[in-house]
This record gives sequence, C-alpha cells and structure tokens, in this order.
Amino acid sequence: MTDRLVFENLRHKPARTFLSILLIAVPVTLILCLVGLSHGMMDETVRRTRSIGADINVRPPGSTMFTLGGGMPDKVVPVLAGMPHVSMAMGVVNQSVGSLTLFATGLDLKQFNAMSGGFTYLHGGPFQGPEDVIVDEFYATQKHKRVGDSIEILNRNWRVCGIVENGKFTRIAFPLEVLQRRTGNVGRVSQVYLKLDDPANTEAVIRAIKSQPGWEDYPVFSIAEFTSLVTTTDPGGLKAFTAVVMGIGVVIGFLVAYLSMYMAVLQRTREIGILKSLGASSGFILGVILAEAAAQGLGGCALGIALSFGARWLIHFMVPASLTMEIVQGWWPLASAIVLAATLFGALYPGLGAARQDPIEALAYE
Amino acid sequence: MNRSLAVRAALALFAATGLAPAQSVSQLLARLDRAAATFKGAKADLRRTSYTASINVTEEESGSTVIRRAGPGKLEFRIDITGANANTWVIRDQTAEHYLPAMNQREPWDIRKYRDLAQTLLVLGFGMSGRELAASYTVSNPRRDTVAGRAATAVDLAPKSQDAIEKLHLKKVELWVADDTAAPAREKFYFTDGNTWTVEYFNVQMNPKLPASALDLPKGAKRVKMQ
Repeated sequence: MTDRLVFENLRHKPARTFLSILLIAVPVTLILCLVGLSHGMMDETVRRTRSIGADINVRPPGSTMFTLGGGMPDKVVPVLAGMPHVSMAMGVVNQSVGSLTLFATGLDLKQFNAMSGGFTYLHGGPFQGPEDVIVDEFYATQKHKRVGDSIEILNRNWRVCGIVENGKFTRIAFPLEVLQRRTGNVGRVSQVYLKLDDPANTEAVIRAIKSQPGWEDYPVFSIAEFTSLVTTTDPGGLKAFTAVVMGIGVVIGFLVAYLSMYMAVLQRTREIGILKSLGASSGFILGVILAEAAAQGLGGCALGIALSFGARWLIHFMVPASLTMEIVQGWWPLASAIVLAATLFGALYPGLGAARQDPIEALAYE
Repeated sequence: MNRSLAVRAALALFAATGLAPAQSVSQLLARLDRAAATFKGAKADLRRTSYTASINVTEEESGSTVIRRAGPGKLEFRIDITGANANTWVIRDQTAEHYLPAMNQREPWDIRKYRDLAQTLLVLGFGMSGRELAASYTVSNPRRDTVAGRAATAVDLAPKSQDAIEKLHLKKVELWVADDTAAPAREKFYFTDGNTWTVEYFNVQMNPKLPASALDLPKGAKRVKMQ
C-alpha cells in the first residue's frame, strides 16, 4: 500500500520528482569528483615516480628554502653517483607550468633512458636542439599539438619534437641545461634520483648517505617511502575542502527534501485528509512522506554516481594532462549515506506536519 | 705622562683601525633601537656566498637590495640577484614574489606561515630594532671587527624560533653591525648540516629617496600563483 502510494505520488509529479533527484545528485557527484580527483592525482604521481626506475630520491635540505632558488648544487650528483651500491644518479629540475598539477622537467635524456628504459615515442623522437620539447600524449591532446608544431610553455615558444606515451615520469620534458637556464637554476638541480645495483641495498645506502658529514639534513627517501608519503599527504588542504563539500551536500540534500516534501504535503492536503478519514494513522502518513523522500534520495544518489562517470569522461576529454580523476567505488556508500540522511532529515518536518493534520480541516482545504 | 700618552695613542690606533672597545649587547641593542626609530629605508649592494658542506663547494652571487618602511612595524624588501641565475624576490606583508627575468614570470607565494623565516634569512637587521632582534634571537659575544675596512660590532645570534631551528635547520647567525650606518655589514648563517650562507652589504645608503615604485616588478610579466 505504502509502496504504491509513493510510486504514484512520484509518477504523478514527474518534473518535481526529476528536479529533486537531480538536485540531490549534485552533492553526491561533487563529493565523488573531489575524492576521485585526489585519488587520481596521487596515484598518477606514484605511477610516474615509480616509472623512473630509481630506488632513492634525494631532495634539497631545509637550509636552501630561501637560497639557491630552492635547489641544490648539481655537483651533488657525481658525489652521490660515486657512493657504494649507487649504479646511477640523475639530477632533474622541476618547474610548475601555470598550475599546481602540471610540471615541466629538465632532464638528461641519456641518463633518463639508462635509468628508466626511456620514453615510448608515439610520434617524433628525442631532442634535436635547445628549442625542443617532448610532451606526452595527454598534454599534446589538451593543447591540440602535433610533432613539429610550436607550443608555448614557460612564456616562450618551443618545437614539439616528440610525443610520448602517458605515464612516464613527466608530461613535459626539456633538456636539463635548457630548463636550468630558463628557470634561473644554472648549476642547480631540484631533485636527484639514484638507481642502485640491487634494490635490497636501499636502506643501507640511505643510512650511508645520511651518515656522511653535511648530508644529515638532506631528505633522502626510498621510492617506496616517497610514494607512501605522497598518498598520505593532503595536497592543498583537499581533505578540508572535501569536508566542506560534504557539508554543502548535507545542506543541499536537507533543503531539497524539505522544500520538495513541503510542497508535496501542501498539494496533497485533501488526500491526506481522506487517508486519515479512512483510518490511516499519523505513523502511516509520516511513513509515506519519508518513503517518498527516501525514494528521491536513492534516485539522487544513483544519478550522482552516474554523473561522476560523466564528470570523469569530461575531465579526460577537456584537460587530460592537468587533471586525473578516478572512480573510487569505496566512497559510493559513504557519499550516498551522507546525502540520504540529510534528505530524510529534511523530509521529517513536513512529514510530521502532515501526520499531525486534522482530517476535517484537511478535507475542507482548498 | 708617558703611560697616559701610550693609552691615548692606543685608543687613537683602535679608533683608526675600527678596533675601538666593543659595545656591550645592551649598548648595541640600544643603538639599533635608535637607528630603527629613524629608519625609512635603505639601499645596498650585496654579495652572497653559499657553502655546501656535503660537497665542500662554495658559490657566490651578487646583487642589490632595497628595504623600505611601508608603515609602523611594516618593512618591505626587494633583493635582486644578477648573473646567470638572475632573479628577484620582493617581500611585502604576507606575500613573497619571485621574479624570473629569463622567463619574464612572477611567482607570488603566500608566506603567512613563513614570513618570519623569510625575514630571518633574507634581510636580518635592516630597520630592525634592538628589541625585535632580541625577541627573535639570543644575542651574545659582542666584539669589534672590520668588514671590508668598515668598523663594526659583531655579535652571535642564537635563533629562538622553533621554525627557524626545525624547518631551516638554522644553528646560529653572526651579525656585523657597521658603526657608520647601524645597519648590517655582514651576516653569516650557520646551518646544522654544516652549510653556511654569508651576505655582505656594501655601498649602503641609509634613508635614501625611494620612489613608491622601487619595489615594483615588471608589470608585463606573467603571474603564476604558487603554493
């Protein structure tokens, strides 16, 4: 009986039902997009870092925070390369390219090839001169560029000499000395990657580096430790931002359900009067209103999840190089539960109002 | 008579060589307080020498700096480094802006959390009162010295800020305050890993006429916000 009433009520006002479901879907999609973006970006960073083939990452000490442009002298590279069990050391320079998520990397292509196995070229090939840049397929797609095209990066034009497969170290690669000059880092590197003769020696080599005089304060991480740090950090206060969006989701869900059910109760005042005259209890009336809100909430959650797939497709289509979004199924129940609870809470007040209605007054309602 | 003459001669010699008796810490701080009260701005050329202990390498950069008092307790700084790695830092209120001329790019950073650290390292001493210096550092070991022929009082500074100790790994600072300007003539920063960073100031002009645009970066440069 309740199911049928709810179904007919929803079917009878399709526009209101659809709008309510759509509005409830919005916060669900927002939450899933934010979580998907944070997971996507972190996993992308981890994949790229692992693709270098290095075992250890060395960063500049805190004492360089306001000196040396934040880097360290590139003379550290041969010193690290000469340490026991280190078979190769590669210094790189990183520079943000107009966004928090996109970086250009200056690297020595020979060293990079030896350490990682090199880029997989889809079109074109390695650097031919100091004006050349290698970009990955996603960045080329995002910028609508092909090999031989001119592309503006870091406020000047470069020639795209190669387009490489996505997922290897960086989306934008320059010859090391070119990016060093461009970024005011001549003779400096941002990070050094070390490849060892045997990965089993990683901890021993880190201890050996840190025990050398002058190396105590250098952040030296195994790649496993580094990737674990990436996944546990909170870039740009994303967790707080997600919490805010969840709060907004609760408010939207509450208000949508409140307004929708309030309107429904007003429109069905006479119907409620008839039901009560036929002996329907206050609990039954409240149950019908809450069940209707729950149906809308469930529909909103399902639509919100579906829309998150659409958002992922749109992000991949529009800005594949700048943003990476994943579908995080583990968050479906949580996002849905939060919004559904808000929806039911929003429907409670109009539901109680309907349950308390006097049948005679309701029947007289015009 | 001969003894008195000898004392006078010695004092004259000390004064001539800048090796007059050292000021006490409280005298130095009082002098900095007086200088800060009239400080409106300064211009100076600088030479920075960075020593990296891990590889035993010393690098040198040169440039200039401009400091301006923008209001009570409000100092603004500009540091221009010239040469192959030319770049400029401008620190105002809660932002530090890094200008890279090779890219013609300005990178503003929000330094609300690091403002004290930036000031600690970049422009210690200029326009800073003795009270402010004593609040940030434990001041000790005053002594006479000369920096590029200028008489100065040197002191050791032990940072009080936990951030300076933990994030910058700053162990201590040596500060040489020039007699003629009551501004820094040299600063040497010692870090826990053995790295040092020495800044020498010369051609110092105290309270020069500074136009409002003295700290402005090129307007046509692209701005890329950093975090």
